[in-house]
This record gives sequence, C-alpha cells and structure tokens, in this order.
Amino acid sequence: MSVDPPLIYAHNLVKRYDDFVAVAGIDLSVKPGEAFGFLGPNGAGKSTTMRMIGCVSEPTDGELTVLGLDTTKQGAQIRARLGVVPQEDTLDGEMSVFENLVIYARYFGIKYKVARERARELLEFVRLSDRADKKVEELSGGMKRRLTIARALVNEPDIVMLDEPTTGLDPQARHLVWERLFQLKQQGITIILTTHYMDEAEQLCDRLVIMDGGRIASEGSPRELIERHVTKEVVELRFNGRHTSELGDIAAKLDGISGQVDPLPDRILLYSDDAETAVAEIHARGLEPSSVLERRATLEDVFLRLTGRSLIE
Amino acid sequence: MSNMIHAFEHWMLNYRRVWTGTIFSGFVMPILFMVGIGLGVGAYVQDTSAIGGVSYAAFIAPGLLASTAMQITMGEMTWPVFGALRWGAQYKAMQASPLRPIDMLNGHLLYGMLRGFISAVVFLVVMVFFGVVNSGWAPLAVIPATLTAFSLVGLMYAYAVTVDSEIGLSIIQRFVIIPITLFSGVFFPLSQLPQALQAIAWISPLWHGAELSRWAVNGTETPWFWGVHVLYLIALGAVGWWAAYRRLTIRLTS
Repeated sequence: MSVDPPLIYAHNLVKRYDDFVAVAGIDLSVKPGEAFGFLGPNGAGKSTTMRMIGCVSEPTDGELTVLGLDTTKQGAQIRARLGVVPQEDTLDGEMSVFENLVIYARYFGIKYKVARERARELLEFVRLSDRADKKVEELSGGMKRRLTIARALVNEPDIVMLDEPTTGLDPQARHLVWERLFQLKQQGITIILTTHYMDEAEQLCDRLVIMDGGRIASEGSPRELIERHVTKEVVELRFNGRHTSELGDIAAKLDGISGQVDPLPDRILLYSDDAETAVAEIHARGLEPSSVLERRATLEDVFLRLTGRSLIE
Repeated sequence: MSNMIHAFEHWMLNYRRVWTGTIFSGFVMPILFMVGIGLGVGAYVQDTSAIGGVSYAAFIAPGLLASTAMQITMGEMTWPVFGALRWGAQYKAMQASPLRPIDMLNGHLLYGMLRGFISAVVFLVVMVFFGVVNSGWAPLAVIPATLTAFSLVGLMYAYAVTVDSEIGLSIIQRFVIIPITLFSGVFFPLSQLPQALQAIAWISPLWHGAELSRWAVNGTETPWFWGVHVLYLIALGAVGWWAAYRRLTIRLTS
C-alpha cells in the first residue's frame, strides 16, 4: 500500500522580521483529508505560519512545500488550489454579497457563467441566499465570516485555510460556522485552522500542534495530547478569595494526593486519573476548599502544563 | 496578461456602479472650465499673436484636455490605491488568489488609464460644442492626453502605496497637481515665463502633453520634435511603473 505524500510539508521552517523571530524552526506534515489545527495564544506564530503556507510571506529559512510544490517558486500555482479565510475580513464592502463571490472567482480565472453558478450554490451552503443582493457593509460579523468561507470555496480548493475562524463571533454564529466546517471535513477537504479556543480545536481537529513562542510545544490528536501531558481528570479547587502565595502554601499540602498540582492565581488545579478519590483525600487532610469542581481534562490544561500560561490572557 | 485583466475587472465592477455619475461630472467640469476661463477670461485676451492666432478658448482647450486626463487618472491612483492596500483590503483578498503583485499593479494602472482616456474623450465632445475643434486631426489629441496620464500614473501609484497617512495624498493635490496644471503652458504660453522657469516647466509632463494636444487640435507646431515629447512621456511613465512595482512588492511581501 502506498502512503499518500503529505499535502503540506515543513522542515525547520523559520520566519524572522529583523530581530524578531516569529517562527523558530518548526516541522509539519499534513495528510490529505486531515483537519489540522494550530492551537496557541496570540503571538505564538500561528498566523505567520499560515501566511507562509498561503504563499503570501516567504520563509526566512527552512523547507516548505504545499501540494508538492515549492512555496517560494510556485506560489501562484499553489494559491490557485487554496481557499483562504483570513482573520480579518477582506470582503469589498462596496460590492454586493453575490458580486464579492463572482469577482473573487474571476481572480482565479473562473468563467463568469461558472462563477455565478458556484456563487449561488455557495450562498445556499452558508445560508446567505436571501442576502445575495445586499451590500457587504450591511451584514453582521457572523454573516461576513460565512461569506468569507463561501468565497474561499469558490475555486473548489484542495486545502481550506482558516485563520481564527470564529474569533469575535457570538456563540450562535460560532456554531453555524463549525457546522459548515464539519460538513467540509466530511466531504474530505483538507482543513488547516488556527485558533486560540481549545473547544474549537477539540471539535474540529483530527490532529493539532500546540504553538508557543514560535515553536511547536507538542503535536497529536486532541485525545493523545491530553493523555500524554495531563491526567484524565482535573479537580479545580478554590479557597474563598485567597490567591497567589497563599494558594502556593495550600498546594504544598496537597502534595502526593495524585499527579501534578498547579497553583494558579485564583485556583489550584489537581491532575488525577480518579478525581473522586482525590477529593476524598483532600478532605481527609483537613483542607476545606470553598468550591470543588471535578471535570474532564481539556486542551486548555495541556497548554497550561506545557507553557505555564493559559491560552486566553 | 490574463491575470492583469482579472484584477482590472475588480475595479471595473466597482466602476459600473458609478459610471453614470462620472460621465456626468466628466461633462460638467470641462464645461465650467470652458465657460469660466475660456470665454470669461478669454474676453480680455485681445492680442492672440502669442497663442498662435486662435481664440483664447481654442488655445486652452487642448491643454485642458490633457490636464483633465492626467488629473482623473492621478485621482484614481490616490485614495483608491491607498484604500485598496489598507482599509478596503482588496489587495489582501487578491493576494490569496493566483494574482501576483505585478498583476494587481497592472490591473489597477490599466483601470486608472481607462478613466483618464474616457475623460479625454468626453472633453473632446465638449470642445466640439464650444466650436473649438476645427481640424479632422483633433480626435488624435486623446492620444497625448492619455500619454500624459500614463507618464504620472506609476509615480502617483508608487507614492500612494508608500505614504503612511492620508495627509500625504492631499499634499500631492495641493503641491504637485495644481502647480503642474498652472505652469505647463495650459493657460498661457510658456514663453510668458522667465527663461529659468521655462526650463523647470520642461520637466512637467503636462507641458509635453499639452503641446502635442494643441498640435493635433489647432495645428500649432510643437516646440520640440514631436517624437521627443512622446518619448519623454513614455520614459517618465516607464520609470514610474518600475517605482510602483518595487514599492508594491515591498509592501505586500514584507
């Protein structure tokens, strides 16, 4: 059986701006049909990496191929097969919703007749058919994002790249975007996305890398990452308004109950494979937290363990 | 080539919405100039020996034709270009497609040139109504007018992608376009200026364009061999294109 070559391959990829290192030598390999995520806080190097994959920004060093082509030499060819949803909307506010799709299709040399057909289908797909003749300026943030997603599909791309697709959207709008992305995934389209929402990463990504300070801190499926870096469950303890140094003292008393103990500014996290037993032991040691929350470990915990910081600061 | 056309289509689609308005103002502006200056100021011009023996209105019309094409094209290369790179984000959208910076540049310049060309044609129609077109060669004046627009289109574009604030764009209007319009032999022959100032006016592409335009409309001999005027306009345009290409590439790939 032959193995599919990676759609995106990066080796020791670096991007430097004068003295600032945005991406500090990362390795990547994305397979066809995968939903691949970059999870990390702002400034981690996610968008810069996306810009290099999207052939908008040239790598300072290292190797990068997309669809088997060299990003520095065959940028236009690669871009012809990508669908890009940038972080900030780049729609033309003066044009109508429909015109935005058709003119974007023209950038790709798609004939007007085909462009108009696709525009109609895609508006259906993102549920904007009834807004086709409205000016983009009149759309809500969520609608603009959906239109941008529709626009990214107009050239029937092999890879769809989304930079923070739901940042700034209300919960309802987010869910609608997720639903559409999930449908794309089911159609077998390769999806690359960046996010600083761990729930988004967990919902959409088959595999992801956690980025911090321009480096990849860890890589795997959401489940693998959780199993590798944290325990199955987490107990969150709060002690009535006490924080920082006091919590540090309390944390010391929790030593040995289970796995790691992390005192945060406002609460203590106790990693355990058996939260119930751990909580019983806490009470047995005479500690009386004001609140106890037992929950499943998430990617947020993974990020915290790996970097010592939370994702959204 | 086809990529340039695809970028050009973006601006044409926008233009389709406003073209009736621009044609209307395209008529109004020349009419105001012809009435206000051509007829109004012209009434005081008795001695026409210095302007080739034609009426004052007939003297300024060909120059105004070139100047209008130049101004319309340059106008398209100020705020629209500045905006496409920044708040409008049209260039960012294009960057995600197979279009390269050179395609975006050429598509936008082509659109600016077309606007200048259309305004020159409109101006010519107005001139017919004012009875200042007496030669079958007059329609050829559209060519030097378009060349005048070409000579500055790239430089204006390069400037618009380089400046950091909109104030820079207003400065061009006040300190470049207006002086060029006033001191390029459009409203009075260059020979009226002191020798030193005449030499400065030779740099102005509008002087070359106005002289060529006047040659087509009034049959007035050009001061220099016509090929030199044409060559100057093309050369300046080429330098401008190169500057625009460099600036845009730096701007988009940094």
